[in-house]
Amino acid sequence: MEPDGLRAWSVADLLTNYPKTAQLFIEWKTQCVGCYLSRFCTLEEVVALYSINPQTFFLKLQKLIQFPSERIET
Amino acid sequence: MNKDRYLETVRKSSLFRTLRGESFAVLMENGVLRSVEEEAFFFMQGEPATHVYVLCEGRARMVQYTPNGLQITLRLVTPGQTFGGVALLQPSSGYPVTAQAMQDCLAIGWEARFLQMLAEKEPSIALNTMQLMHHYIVELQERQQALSAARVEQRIARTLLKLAAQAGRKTEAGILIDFPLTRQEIAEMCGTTLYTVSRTLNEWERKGLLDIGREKVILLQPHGLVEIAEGFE
Repeated sequence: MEPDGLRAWSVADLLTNYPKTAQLFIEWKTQCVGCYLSRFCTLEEVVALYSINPQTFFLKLQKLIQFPSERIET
Repeated sequence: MNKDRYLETVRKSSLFRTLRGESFAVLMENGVLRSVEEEAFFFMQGEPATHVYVLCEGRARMVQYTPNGLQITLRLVTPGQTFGGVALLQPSSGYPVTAQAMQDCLAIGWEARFLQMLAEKEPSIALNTMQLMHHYIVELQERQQALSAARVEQRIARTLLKLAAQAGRKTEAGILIDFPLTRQEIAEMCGTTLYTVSRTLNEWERKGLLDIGREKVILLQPHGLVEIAEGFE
């Protein structure tokens, strides 16, 4: 999955399909995991809202999706 | 009206999502489509619990009346959700709530006796019922915790976010909660007064967090409400 393809995903879709990616949101201290709005927020909106560097975020996300057992340092 | 139009709604409902093939066909065959006009009732608190329903169209609310005549809105029901589930577990104790249509509603109802027989062949119905109960218990625990520990603004924000998650739609302006809700109903769901809800919502509207129209609320800055709900503001 290309990072660009992930941008329009909702947080809920991402967490349903790749539950391991929850660690990324937790480590970045966003409130996305368990949030009532998770099915409305796209990942693009999340990085904008929390002022996260999108390039770093999506690269790490992609790594986590490809290698879910590895720990990705944020 | 043909109930087969609602096959998918029933198939996705938490009570029957595990039924397949013949069992599902038997289920649909025995369901009765029931239409209830806005403000009218599916059943009343204390009546013998005879039927379990899946809502197919409209919006309904589960209301409880206290001995001194106060009414408390416990839960709002949207299409695909089950209500009257107590009929499956303890029909003799009667419905613990009144189910009232907030808009014109269509629901499919099943006799509890039929579902109990079906559950003997399809034990997953029993497991699904337990999961449904678990969901209600968690919801009540959260509400209890909020009543004991959260400020009233947090409770109002959580209620709005929960409604958004249940029946919200993303629009250009924000997240639209498409529910014919009154401030009194929000107050009942938060365990506070109409006055407090009105004051809080007016303040949030002034701050640009939301827009309140007739029978609708738009969350203009949903994350602002998350901050309030979590006590981070």
